Amino acid sequence: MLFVTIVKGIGTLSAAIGLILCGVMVYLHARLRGGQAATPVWTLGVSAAVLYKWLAFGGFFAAPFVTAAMANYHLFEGTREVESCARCHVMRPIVNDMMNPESQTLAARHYRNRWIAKQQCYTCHTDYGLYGSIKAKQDGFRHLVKYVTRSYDEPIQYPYRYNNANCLQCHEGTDKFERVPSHTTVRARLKESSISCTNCHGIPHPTSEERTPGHPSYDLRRPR
Amino acid sequence: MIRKHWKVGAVVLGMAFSVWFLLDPDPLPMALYVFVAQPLFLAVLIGYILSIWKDLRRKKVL
Repeated sequence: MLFVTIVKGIGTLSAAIGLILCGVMVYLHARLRGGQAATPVWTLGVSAAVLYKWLAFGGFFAAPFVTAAMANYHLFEGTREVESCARCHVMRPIVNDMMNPESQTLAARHYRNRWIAKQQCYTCHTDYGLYGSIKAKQDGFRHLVKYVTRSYDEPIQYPYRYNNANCLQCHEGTDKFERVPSHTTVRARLKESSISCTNCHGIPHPTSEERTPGHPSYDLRRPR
Repeated sequence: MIRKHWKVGAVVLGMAFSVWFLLDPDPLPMALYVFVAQPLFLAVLIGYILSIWKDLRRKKVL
Protein backbone atom coordinates (compact mmCIF):
# COMPACT_ATOMS: atom_id res chain seq x y z
CA MET A 1 0.00 0.00 0.00
CA LEU A 2 2.84 2.34 0.89
CA PHE A 3 4.60 1.46 -2.35
CA VAL A 4 1.46 2.24 -4.38
CA THR A 5 1.23 5.63 -2.61
CA ILE A 6 4.87 6.33 -3.45
CA VAL A 7 4.25 5.38 -7.10
CA LYS A 8 1.24 7.71 -7.24
CA GLY A 9 3.26 10.47 -5.60
CA ILE A 10 6.22 10.17 -7.98
CA GLY A 11 3.89 10.04 -11.00
CA THR A 12 1.94 13.10 -9.91
CA LEU A 13 5.10 15.02 -9.02
CA SER A 14 6.77 14.27 -12.36
CA ALA A 15 3.58 15.34 -14.17
CA ALA A 16 3.55 18.61 -12.23
CA ILE A 17 7.22 19.20 -13.05
CA GLY A 18 6.51 18.39 -16.70
CA LEU A 19 3.66 20.92 -16.80
CA ILE A 20 5.89 23.61 -15.28
CA LEU A 21 8.65 22.84 -17.79
CA CYS A 22 6.15 23.11 -20.65
CA GLY A 23 4.95 26.48 -19.34
CA VAL A 24 8.51 27.83 -19.16
CA MET A 25 9.19 26.44 -22.65
CA VAL A 26 6.27 28.39 -24.10
CA TYR A 27 7.62 31.53 -22.42
CA LEU A 28 11.15 30.91 -23.68
CA HIS A 29 9.89 30.14 -27.17
CA ALA A 30 8.45 33.64 -27.32
CA ARG A 31 11.87 35.08 -26.31
CA LEU A 32 13.62 32.98 -28.95
CA ARG A 33 11.25 34.28 -31.61
CA GLY A 34 11.96 37.79 -30.37
CA GLY A 35 15.63 37.39 -31.30
CA GLN A 36 16.94 36.93 -27.75
CA ALA A 37 18.37 33.44 -28.23
CA ALA A 38 21.84 34.38 -27.00
CA THR A 39 20.63 36.49 -24.06
CA PRO A 40 21.32 34.86 -20.66
CA VAL A 41 18.12 33.89 -18.89
CA TRP A 42 17.54 35.20 -15.37
CA THR A 43 20.56 34.37 -13.19
CA LEU A 44 21.16 30.91 -14.65
CA GLY A 45 23.99 32.09 -16.83
CA VAL A 46 22.88 30.10 -19.89
CA SER A 47 21.35 31.44 -23.06
CA ALA A 48 17.63 31.10 -23.80
CA ALA A 49 18.44 28.70 -26.67
CA VAL A 50 20.46 26.34 -24.44
CA LEU A 51 17.93 26.45 -21.62
CA TYR A 52 15.12 25.74 -24.09
CA LYS A 53 16.89 22.57 -25.19
CA TRP A 54 17.30 21.34 -21.63
CA LEU A 55 13.68 22.14 -20.86
CA ALA A 56 12.58 20.34 -24.03
CA PHE A 57 14.49 17.26 -22.89
CA GLY A 58 12.81 17.42 -19.49
CA GLY A 59 9.33 18.34 -20.72
CA PHE A 60 9.12 16.19 -23.84
CA PHE A 61 11.09 13.16 -22.68
CA ALA A 62 12.08 12.84 -19.01
CA ALA A 63 8.87 13.95 -17.30
CA PRO A 64 6.48 12.02 -19.63
CA PHE A 65 8.74 8.96 -19.35
CA VAL A 66 8.65 8.97 -15.53
CA THR A 67 4.92 9.72 -15.43
CA ALA A 68 4.13 6.98 -17.96
CA ALA A 69 6.38 4.51 -16.11
CA MET A 70 4.55 5.16 -12.83
CA ALA A 71 1.13 5.03 -14.50
CA ASN A 72 2.02 1.79 -16.29
CA TYR A 73 3.20 0.24 -13.05
CA HIS A 74 -0.08 1.31 -11.49
CA LEU A 75 -1.95 -0.08 -14.51
CA PHE A 76 -0.32 -3.51 -14.51
CA GLU A 77 -0.02 -4.03 -10.76
CA GLY A 78 -3.20 -2.24 -9.67
CA THR A 79 -5.43 -4.26 -12.00
CA ARG A 80 -4.49 -7.42 -10.09
CA GLU A 81 -6.37 -6.23 -7.03
CA VAL A 82 -9.97 -7.17 -6.25
CA GLU A 83 -10.79 -3.48 -5.75
CA SER A 84 -9.76 -2.82 -9.34
CA CYS A 85 -12.19 -5.45 -10.66
CA ALA A 86 -14.97 -4.02 -8.50
CA ARG A 87 -14.59 -0.59 -10.11
CA CYS A 88 -16.55 -1.84 -13.13
CA HIS A 89 -20.17 -2.03 -12.01
CA VAL A 90 -20.79 -5.22 -13.99
CA MET A 91 -18.35 -7.01 -11.68
CA ARG A 92 -19.95 -5.89 -8.43
CA PRO A 93 -22.45 -8.76 -8.06
CA ILE A 94 -19.53 -11.17 -8.47
CA VAL A 95 -17.36 -9.34 -5.93
CA ASN A 96 -20.32 -8.88 -3.57
CA ASP A 97 -20.94 -12.61 -3.69
CA MET A 98 -17.26 -13.39 -3.16
CA MET A 99 -17.25 -11.26 0.00
CA ASN A 100 -20.58 -12.62 1.25
CA PRO A 101 -19.76 -14.80 4.31
CA GLU A 102 -22.87 -16.93 3.69
CA SER A 103 -22.31 -17.62 0.01
CA GLN A 104 -21.35 -21.15 -1.02
CA THR A 105 -19.90 -20.32 -4.43
CA LEU A 106 -16.35 -21.45 -5.11
CA ALA A 107 -15.07 -17.88 -5.22
CA ALA A 108 -16.69 -17.04 -1.87
CA ARG A 109 -15.29 -20.15 -0.19
CA HIS A 110 -11.81 -19.42 -1.49
CA TYR A 111 -12.06 -15.81 -0.31
CA ARG A 112 -13.64 -16.54 3.08
CA ASN A 113 -11.15 -19.26 4.00
CA ARG A 114 -8.19 -17.28 2.58
CA TRP A 115 -7.26 -20.22 0.39
CA ILE A 116 -6.00 -17.44 -1.84
CA ALA A 117 -4.44 -14.80 0.38
CA LYS A 118 -4.64 -11.82 -1.99
CA GLN A 119 -5.40 -10.81 -5.58
CA GLN A 120 -8.16 -13.40 -5.61
CA CYS A 121 -9.70 -12.44 -8.99
CA TYR A 122 -6.36 -12.31 -10.78
CA THR A 123 -5.09 -15.56 -9.29
CA CYS A 124 -7.98 -17.56 -10.79
CA HIS A 125 -8.38 -15.56 -14.00
CA THR A 126 -4.98 -15.40 -15.57
CA ASP A 127 -3.72 -18.47 -17.36
CA TYR A 128 -0.27 -19.31 -16.18
CA GLY A 129 2.82 -18.92 -18.31
CA LEU A 130 4.04 -16.06 -20.50
CA TYR A 131 1.40 -16.43 -23.21
CA GLY A 132 -1.32 -16.64 -20.59
CA SER A 133 -0.31 -13.40 -18.94
CA ILE A 134 -0.16 -11.55 -22.27
CA LYS A 135 -3.53 -12.95 -23.28
CA ALA A 136 -4.97 -11.90 -19.91
CA LYS A 137 -3.78 -8.34 -20.53
CA GLN A 138 -5.18 -8.37 -24.08
CA ASP A 139 -8.52 -9.50 -22.69
CA GLY A 140 -8.30 -6.76 -20.07
CA PHE A 141 -7.81 -4.05 -22.72
CA ARG A 142 -10.65 -5.49 -24.81
CA HIS A 143 -12.93 -5.47 -21.77
CA LEU A 144 -11.89 -1.88 -21.04
CA VAL A 145 -12.90 -0.76 -24.55
CA LYS A 146 -16.21 -2.61 -24.33
CA TYR A 147 -16.91 -1.14 -20.91
CA VAL A 148 -16.23 2.51 -21.69
CA THR A 149 -18.06 2.29 -25.03
CA ARG A 150 -20.97 0.48 -23.33
CA SER A 151 -20.83 -2.20 -26.04
CA TYR A 152 -21.73 -5.15 -23.83
CA ASP A 153 -24.79 -6.95 -22.60
CA GLU A 154 -25.61 -7.86 -19.04
CA PRO A 155 -25.27 -10.25 -17.41
CA ILE A 156 -21.72 -10.60 -18.64
CA GLN A 157 -20.66 -14.10 -19.64
CA TYR A 158 -17.29 -15.82 -19.61
CA PRO A 159 -16.74 -16.50 -23.32
CA TYR A 160 -14.11 -19.24 -23.10
CA ARG A 161 -13.72 -22.68 -21.62
CA TYR A 162 -12.18 -22.10 -18.20
CA ASN A 163 -8.58 -23.27 -18.01
CA ASN A 164 -8.25 -25.82 -15.19
CA ALA A 165 -4.53 -24.98 -14.95
CA ASN A 166 -5.64 -22.05 -12.80
CA CYS A 167 -7.04 -24.53 -10.26
CA LEU A 168 -4.39 -27.21 -10.66
CA GLN A 169 -1.46 -24.86 -10.16
CA CYS A 170 -2.47 -24.73 -6.47
CA HIS A 171 -4.36 -27.98 -5.90
CA GLU A 172 -2.50 -30.58 -7.93
CA GLY A 173 0.02 -32.51 -5.88
CA THR A 174 -1.52 -31.64 -2.55
CA ASP A 175 -2.31 -34.56 -0.26
CA LYS A 176 -5.99 -33.68 -0.17
CA PHE A 177 -6.22 -33.60 -3.96
CA GLU A 178 -4.27 -36.80 -4.54
CA ARG A 179 -6.33 -38.76 -2.00
CA VAL A 180 -9.48 -38.39 -4.15
CA PRO A 181 -9.55 -41.40 -6.55
CA SER A 182 -11.61 -39.62 -9.23
CA HIS A 183 -8.92 -36.95 -9.56
CA THR A 184 -6.50 -39.66 -10.69
CA THR A 185 -9.08 -41.15 -13.04
CA VAL A 186 -9.77 -37.90 -14.88
CA ARG A 187 -6.40 -36.21 -14.40
CA ALA A 188 -5.60 -36.10 -18.14
CA ARG A 189 -9.00 -34.64 -18.98
CA LEU A 190 -8.67 -32.12 -16.16
CA LYS A 191 -5.31 -31.00 -17.47
CA GLU A 192 -6.62 -30.42 -20.98
CA SER A 193 -9.74 -28.73 -19.54
CA SER A 194 -12.07 -31.04 -21.42
CA ILE A 195 -14.02 -31.39 -18.18
CA SER A 196 -14.47 -28.66 -15.63
CA CYS A 197 -13.61 -28.71 -11.94
CA THR A 198 -16.95 -27.01 -11.33
CA ASN A 199 -18.78 -30.12 -12.59
CA CYS A 200 -18.19 -31.59 -9.13
CA HIS A 201 -17.26 -28.60 -6.99
CA GLY A 202 -20.19 -26.26 -7.57
CA ILE A 203 -20.69 -22.94 -9.31
CA PRO A 204 -17.82 -20.45 -9.10
CA HIS A 205 -19.89 -17.25 -9.13
CA PRO A 206 -23.53 -16.13 -8.85
CA THR A 207 -25.96 -17.30 -11.51
CA SER A 208 -26.81 -15.22 -14.59
CA GLU A 209 -30.06 -14.17 -12.93
CA GLU A 210 -28.23 -12.90 -9.85
CA ARG A 211 -25.84 -10.95 -12.09
CA THR A 212 -28.65 -9.20 -13.95
CA PRO A 213 -29.37 -5.51 -13.15
CA GLY A 214 -32.34 -5.20 -10.83
CA HIS A 215 -31.56 -8.28 -8.80
CA PRO A 216 -31.17 -7.49 -5.04
CA SER A 217 -27.58 -8.73 -4.93
CA TYR A 218 -26.53 -6.78 -8.02
CA ASP A 219 -25.35 -3.55 -6.42
CA LEU A 220 -25.21 -4.05 -2.68
CA ARG A 221 -21.92 -2.33 -1.95
CA ARG A 222 -18.68 -1.36 -3.52
CA PRO A 223 -15.55 -2.69 -1.82
CA ARG A 224 -12.69 -0.23 -1.37
CA MET B 1 0.62 28.79 -32.74
CA ILE B 2 -0.87 25.30 -32.76
CA ARG B 3 1.87 23.98 -35.06
CA LYS B 4 4.56 25.48 -32.84
CA HIS B 5 3.19 24.21 -29.55
CA TRP B 6 1.42 20.95 -30.41
CA LYS B 7 3.97 18.98 -28.41
CA VAL B 8 3.36 21.12 -25.33
CA GLY B 9 -0.40 20.69 -25.74
CA ALA B 10 -0.03 16.93 -26.16
CA VAL B 11 2.19 16.63 -23.08
CA VAL B 12 -0.25 18.72 -20.98
CA LEU B 13 -3.21 16.57 -22.10
CA GLY B 14 -1.27 13.34 -21.58
CA MET B 15 -0.12 14.43 -18.13
CA ALA B 16 -3.66 15.42 -17.15
CA PHE B 17 -5.05 12.00 -18.13
CA SER B 18 -2.13 10.24 -16.45
CA VAL B 19 -2.60 12.06 -13.15
CA TRP B 20 -6.35 11.47 -13.30
CA PHE B 21 -5.70 7.75 -13.73
CA LEU B 22 -3.05 7.66 -10.99
CA LEU B 23 -5.34 9.32 -8.47
CA ASP B 24 -8.61 7.65 -9.51
CA PRO B 25 -8.08 4.38 -11.42
CA ASP B 26 -11.66 3.99 -12.63
CA PRO B 27 -12.36 2.50 -16.08
CA LEU B 28 -12.79 5.86 -17.88
CA PRO B 29 -9.50 7.48 -16.76
CA MET B 30 -7.81 4.12 -17.32
CA ALA B 31 -9.09 4.02 -20.92
CA LEU B 32 -8.07 7.66 -21.48
CA TYR B 33 -4.59 6.92 -20.18
CA VAL B 34 -4.15 3.73 -22.21
CA PHE B 35 -5.72 4.85 -25.49
CA VAL B 36 -5.11 8.64 -25.48
CA ALA B 37 -2.29 9.66 -23.11
CA GLN B 38 0.17 6.94 -24.11
CA PRO B 39 -0.17 7.57 -27.88
CA LEU B 40 0.20 11.30 -27.19
CA PHE B 41 3.43 10.69 -25.27
CA LEU B 42 4.68 8.50 -28.11
CA ALA B 43 3.81 11.19 -30.69
CA VAL B 44 5.63 13.81 -28.61
CA LEU B 45 8.67 11.57 -28.29
CA ILE B 46 8.78 10.99 -32.06
CA GLY B 47 8.29 14.72 -32.70
CA TYR B 48 11.06 15.54 -30.24
CA ILE B 49 13.49 13.08 -31.84
CA LEU B 50 12.62 14.45 -35.30
CA SER B 51 13.25 18.02 -34.16
CA ILE B 52 16.69 16.99 -32.79
CA TRP B 53 17.42 15.19 -36.05
CA LYS B 54 16.47 18.25 -38.10
CA ASP B 55 18.55 20.52 -35.82
CA LEU B 56 21.61 18.33 -36.17
CA ARG B 57 21.15 18.10 -39.96
CA ARG B 58 20.80 21.87 -40.16
CA LYS B 59 24.09 22.28 -38.25
CA LYS B 60 25.66 19.63 -40.52
CA VAL B 61 26.53 17.37 -37.58
CA LEU B 62 24.73 14.48 -39.26
